[in-house]
Amino acid sequence: MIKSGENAYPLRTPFNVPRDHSSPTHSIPAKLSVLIEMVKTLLSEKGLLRGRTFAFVNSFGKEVSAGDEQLFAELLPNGKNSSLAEIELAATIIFGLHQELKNGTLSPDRTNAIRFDPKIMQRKWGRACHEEAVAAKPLKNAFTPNRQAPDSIPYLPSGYGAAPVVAVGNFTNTPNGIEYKDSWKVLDELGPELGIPRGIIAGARREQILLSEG
Amino acid sequence: MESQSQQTSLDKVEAALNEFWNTYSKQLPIKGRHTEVTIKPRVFIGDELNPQIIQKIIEVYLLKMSIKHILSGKVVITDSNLQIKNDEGKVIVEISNAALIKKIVNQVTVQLGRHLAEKKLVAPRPNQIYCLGDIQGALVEYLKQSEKCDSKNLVRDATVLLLKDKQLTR
Repeated sequence: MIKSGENAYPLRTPFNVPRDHSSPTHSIPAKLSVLIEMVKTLLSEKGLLRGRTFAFVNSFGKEVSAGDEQLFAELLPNGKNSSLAEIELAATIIFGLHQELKNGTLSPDRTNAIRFDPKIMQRKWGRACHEEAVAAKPLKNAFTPNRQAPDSIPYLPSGYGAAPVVAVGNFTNTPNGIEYKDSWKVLDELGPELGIPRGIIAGARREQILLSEG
Repeated sequence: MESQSQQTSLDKVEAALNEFWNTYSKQLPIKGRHTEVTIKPRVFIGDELNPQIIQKIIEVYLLKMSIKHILSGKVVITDSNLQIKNDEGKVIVEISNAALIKKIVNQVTVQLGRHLAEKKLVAPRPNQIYCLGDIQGALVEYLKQSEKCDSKNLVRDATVLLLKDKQLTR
């Protein structure tokens, strides 16, 4: 029976996830890389990323680069041993975001930023997700709506050879009033003065051209 | 672990740019409950370099530049923007960011002040910080001299500084 007050909800609902109030970011960063993966996939499928970059901004105003997938391994050091509370919170946010994107209620705004509030997501989608998380055992199956264990969620290796995170098109300027035509040329001209050897820049440029030519 | 010899040049550039980012970006780690996270941009996006990294390279380059860059015409300050040119004089970067230009103009003013102090055209300051008011007279004098030598960039850049000062006092 559900009691009133502090114990109004069963212990394992997402609403009772222990919170660390000393840090406003809580444990949410651990899930951002997963979110980025999902956003990339979903928005690419929808064709929303064609020719532009996007920013991912959480409710704390922290902009997250689209290229953070390599943090995934660092972000979930416990992997499958993550606590149920962590998994529930992650699942809540991911499930909610997945649904929002699917429904089209969440998409990049005019500034190409996707803003989300994990708390709202958790509140909005918590119940459905809780059911999924608790019903799905063993633990690894509770992690994401598509039932992938944390260490089996595919993420792109950093660097060349991997599919691009976002389609950047032929941009020549950044939002901060800095314009250039060729990023490699900028690196080639300015890099050596900042301690990056000219030889490896030239070599990398050659390798990159060979790779792009297949 | 990949040995040093097996690394391709792309790997090396990536490592060098990661190192560069670690040194110059002032991003604080996000403190999570179980871990601390430092957000780093991915170095390559498709065939291009990440704009975030290029932007940082340009900013650091400008903040590290010396008066030689101005004199050689590699960095040119105009009224509307700031340009970085390559050795052939071709513009590779144009900057219209007002805050960054202001920062660089201030930096150049200080460097010009030091340059003039070295030439004993202004009284040297103990802290070696000069504002345009300190060096304006000496700069005008220096401009008259430098027209005879080949410091055309200095003439142009100093003129821009003077024009900017006039605009400010209007």
